[in-house]
Amino acid sequence: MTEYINLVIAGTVQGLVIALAALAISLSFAVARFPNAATGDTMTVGAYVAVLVQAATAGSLLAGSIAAIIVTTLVSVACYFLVFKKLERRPLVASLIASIGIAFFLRSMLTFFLGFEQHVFQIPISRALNFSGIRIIPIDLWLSGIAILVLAATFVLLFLTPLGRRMRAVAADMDLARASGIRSGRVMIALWAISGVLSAVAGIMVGIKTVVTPDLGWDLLLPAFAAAILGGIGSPGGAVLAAILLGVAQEVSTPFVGFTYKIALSFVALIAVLIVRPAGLFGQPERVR
Amino acid sequence: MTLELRNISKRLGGMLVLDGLSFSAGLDELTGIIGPNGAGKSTLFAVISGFQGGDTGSTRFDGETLDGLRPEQRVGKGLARTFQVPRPFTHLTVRENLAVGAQDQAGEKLVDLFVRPWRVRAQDKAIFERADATIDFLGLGPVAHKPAGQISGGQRKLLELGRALMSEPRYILLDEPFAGVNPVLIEQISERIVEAKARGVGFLIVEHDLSALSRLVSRLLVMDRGRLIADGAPGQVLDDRTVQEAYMGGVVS
Amino acid sequence: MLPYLVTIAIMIGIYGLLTLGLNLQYGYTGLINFGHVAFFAIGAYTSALISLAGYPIALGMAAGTVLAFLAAYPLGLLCLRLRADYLAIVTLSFSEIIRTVLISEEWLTEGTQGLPGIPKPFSSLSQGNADLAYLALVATAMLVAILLMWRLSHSPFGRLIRAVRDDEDAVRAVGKDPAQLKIKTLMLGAALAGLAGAFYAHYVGYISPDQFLPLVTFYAWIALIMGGAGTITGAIVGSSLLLFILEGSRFLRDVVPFVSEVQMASLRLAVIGLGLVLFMLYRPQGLIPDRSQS
Repeated sequence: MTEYINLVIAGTVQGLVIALAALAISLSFAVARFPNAATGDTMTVGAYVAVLVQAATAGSLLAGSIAAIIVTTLVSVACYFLVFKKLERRPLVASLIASIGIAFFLRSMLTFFLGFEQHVFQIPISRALNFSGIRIIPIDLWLSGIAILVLAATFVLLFLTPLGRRMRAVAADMDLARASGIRSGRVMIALWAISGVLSAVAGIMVGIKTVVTPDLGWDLLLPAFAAAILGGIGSPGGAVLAAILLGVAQEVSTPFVGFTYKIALSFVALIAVLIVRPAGLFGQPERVR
Repeated sequence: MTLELRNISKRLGGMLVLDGLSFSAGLDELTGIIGPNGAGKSTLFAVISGFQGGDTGSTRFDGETLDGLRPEQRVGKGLARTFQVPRPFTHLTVRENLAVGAQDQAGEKLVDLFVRPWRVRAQDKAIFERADATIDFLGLGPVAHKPAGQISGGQRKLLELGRALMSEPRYILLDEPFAGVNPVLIEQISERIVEAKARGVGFLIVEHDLSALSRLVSRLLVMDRGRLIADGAPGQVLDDRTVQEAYMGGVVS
Repeated sequence: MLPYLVTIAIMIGIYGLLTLGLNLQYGYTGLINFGHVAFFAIGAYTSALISLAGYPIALGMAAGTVLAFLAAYPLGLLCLRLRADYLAIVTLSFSEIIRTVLISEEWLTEGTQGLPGIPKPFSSLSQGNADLAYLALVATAMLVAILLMWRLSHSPFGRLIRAVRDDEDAVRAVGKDPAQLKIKTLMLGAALAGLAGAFYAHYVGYISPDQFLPLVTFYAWIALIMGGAGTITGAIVGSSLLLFILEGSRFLRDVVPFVSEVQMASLRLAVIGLGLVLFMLYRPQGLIPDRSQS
């Protein structure tokens, strides 16, 4: 029993990481109207910047994280201005393909200049706290806390600020929002900036939990996509909940399906939901007309 | 032989667009539907043709239920429709547009296409002969080989009707066949409808042009706010006081 | 020099088949298949395993093609009544799952070690002649595929595909199910990818899961986009250009010696990525635009 509680705890931490990425994808789905496949590799960029800056600044994770957030935000906003803004009025497939192209390009630049070696964050080794068999690693507590804080801040921004209200108006109907005087350009910049911040935090968290490699973000892209669909397209709250469920399900299933197939679980969950409830667990039905 | 609607309701975005609507229309008749904007006419067509599911109620076509059938399956039963704003296949020629309307084509099945090419060829030839006959019938000869994206609005209306006829339906839901069409063409379309009726095709027609419609149909249904408020011969219905009030604030021209 | 050119020509044929399959799916029908490599892998592994088990190569190739054809069915059934981007995500996931299966099911696939010693046809001939014969075989397959595509696009089936691209609701209003048609084209395109995979396996003689990365899917995409989606010539010109880029990078290495082999792989990825973005931005119709769709 305690073993399962430990898996649930590990899964929740993993789920929170997926949630950050899934939230970024869900927002791009809702506001920019395509699933941004570059989210994963933006995460990788964030992880690399953080781990390298940390190494250069004598171990300051804070400096690394701030640098990472700045860089991914710039990358993300630059992608908007250079690419996605110009594809706004074109069919969805154009932005989708371009986002794959950006993903490949970002990864190729990382591997070209930095190679394929693994990088490791310098984290003080800490002993797990043991509550009669239930182990809690302090770093997990920290990471979960930060993830929850970032998620909460994003939701506050979305639901309690004028900017969030405008963003949701654009998500509901871009033309109507524009007609009622909302500067959709600013909303888009905000969207891509938020997406950059979320990606950086997610990338750093994965890097701390495991190691920093060029595939770090891409490997998390599919679970994040799955969570965004499971939660219901354009439902940020749904995406976060689905991501946490997915994280827990992945860990709890590991004893049964083995380590390699746990990533397949997000796919199986995705398929199951598409069969039973195409609109996602928490979404409104939407079909091709 | 009727199209029979029973207690059809449909709620869209919190508004009750269709409110327990019931009527039955003969499959060999011309029936018109009028009503002010927002009366629910388009939604009614969407529900009958299966593009939208009704919240309550049932639809029967010649005694057979249509409930749960997808739009394409309803066409298979002999129930065709047109769209208010014509939706031609813009990159296909007028002739090809009509050809797509033909049902049960061997050439649309992969096995037949490669195993029985001669059959496909013969059938496609017959389909195009029928398309050409339809082109003559509708007077679309001059634009037969033009992409449908390049023809005029009135010609699109004719093409829309022709494509529905190509499916050899027993009944057609016509959505505003006269909207944006010049008077000469209205005459022409009306004549074609009457001729098609003579060949055994019935029509349910939504239309705003009251004078053209009332000359055409033998029965007129009036909708307002999702309900049927009048039903009868055109002359009689248009004189009805409730209809005049609901429809045009009391004045029917 | 000649053997090298033969190799290039064979690879153009293999990528050409892969791209023709994608052209049917995306170019003609508008399906966003981001998991093309899955069908390529299914064709390659099926054919390799069957021929390694001692059965004829032709049987393996046929089985690989059929299995890829069938594998596409459930995916189509699942997604094609839903949003267009669902298919993209589900197929992309599917291709990564297939790769995971290839890595994990070692009893069948030897896992990451891969399958060496896949039989080559024409092994009784000398190396050079065997390759020429193989090229003839690939070219024949390519020709058959082209004729098949041509027949398809000039038939009532092709007419219906074009109608679906114009207006799905209007297609339903004339009594035809767009989803059925899309499932068929998804399956046919997958079969071509499966055949391409089989040709690939028997040519290179060794396959392992890391030859079936999502990158391969986007090789086909960039070839299709460069050539111009929706035309047969576009697909072939595009795959030739792709091979030119991929192989050209080998010559580039002789010119700029300070770039390592590993970095060259990164540069290839960069070119594909940047190419996808730039074509989408500045030349979405490709180099040979489809005149019927302007």
